[in-house]
Amino acid sequence: MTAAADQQTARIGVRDLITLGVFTALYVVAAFIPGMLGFVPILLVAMPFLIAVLTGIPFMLFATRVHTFGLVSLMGVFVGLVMFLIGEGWPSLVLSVVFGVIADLIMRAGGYRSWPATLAGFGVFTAWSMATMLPIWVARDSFLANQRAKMGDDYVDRLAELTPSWAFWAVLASMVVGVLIGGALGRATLRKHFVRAGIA
Amino acid sequence: MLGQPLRPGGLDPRAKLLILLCTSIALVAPGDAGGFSWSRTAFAVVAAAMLLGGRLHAALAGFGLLYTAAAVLDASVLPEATGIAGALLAAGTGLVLRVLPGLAIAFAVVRTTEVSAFIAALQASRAPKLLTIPIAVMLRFFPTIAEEHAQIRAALRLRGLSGRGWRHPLRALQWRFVPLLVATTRIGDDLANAALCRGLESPTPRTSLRRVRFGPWDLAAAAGTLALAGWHLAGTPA
Repeated sequence: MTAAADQQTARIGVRDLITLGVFTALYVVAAFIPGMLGFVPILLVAMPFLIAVLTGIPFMLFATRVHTFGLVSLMGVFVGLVMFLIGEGWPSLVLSVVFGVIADLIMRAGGYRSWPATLAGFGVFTAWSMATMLPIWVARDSFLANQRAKMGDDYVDRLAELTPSWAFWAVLASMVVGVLIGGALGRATLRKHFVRAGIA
Repeated sequence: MLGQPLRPGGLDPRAKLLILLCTSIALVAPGDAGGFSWSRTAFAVVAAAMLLGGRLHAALAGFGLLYTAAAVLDASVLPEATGIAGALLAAGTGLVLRVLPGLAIAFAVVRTTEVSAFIAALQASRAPKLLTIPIAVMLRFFPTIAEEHAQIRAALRLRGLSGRGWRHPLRALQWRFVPLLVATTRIGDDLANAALCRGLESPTPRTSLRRVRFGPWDLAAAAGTLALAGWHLAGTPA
């Protein structure tokens, strides 16, 4: 990018909005395949980890181009909208918007420069991917009753056995590991390829 | 859309978005217990009509085959299947029956909507640039990403690197992502420059050669899908 884009700007310009569109499209494509796992019972616990690993590279490259508050929040809005439209349900939309804003605030606190703040922002941003499985723990009784009607006793007993409440923390921990891997991968890729190619 | 001939006789972009929204909301509503229902089949017909209207015949054939297969399986095998295998089969057919129509409509919308018509339509509805520009760019970029990815896959195959991803998943990820991101960020920068040259940053409202009007056909299509969504939701316990 040019030197002019390096300084922190107050307003979101057209160029920022185009960058946002490009990187949201890339993010959605990266999140799409593991996102489909969200519809498959049991396999869906792997979704946050895989999304974190796969979106690390596009998110970190996007982060180098963000200098204004609002872009990461808007990315949360658009990612949530797309996930909602392809059928991930409204919890994904709500979490994606909320975590997008929080991630934006964290990254702003680091001046959109600091690596720890960017990594933390990436982690918070990725947390929308927990949305599809939240009902298993948050509204456990009604969720299990609903699944019992749909899938039968056999399946629900097995599901209940596989998802005790500590499993939530296990999935969250797997997501954090995924964030660390994806973030490190993104950073390494930036240094190795994009800085050299002059696009980071 | 890059190098794509304009499809004639399309609906207004806003009508298409409304149809997509109704389908997504209705088909994945929680509490939908699965099994056959006329309203869900009607949504599949809507999706097929959108693909047909966009002359996306290959996609239409694929959609028809997959959907019919899932519907037949859902009706014949599923009631007898029990246990974990039954649950996985139910997940598979459920995925196709509930998600595929929405995806097919989304595909049709992306392939049949000219970006400038889309911007003109959203602007006519007084949507802020904060929304119109990123959405328009995304619409234009999904086909671009698919195109670039196909070329990267071809290049990987040429070098004998395809199908080796399982041994080095992280490296394989980079082989795909790095060229894809380099290419797309370059295209994105070009797009930004072109947009600035065409005065997208100007505060005055854009004029467009493409006349967009929310006409009676749009109204009929949108109202029809909305009614269908209401019918479907009324038939499923909340």
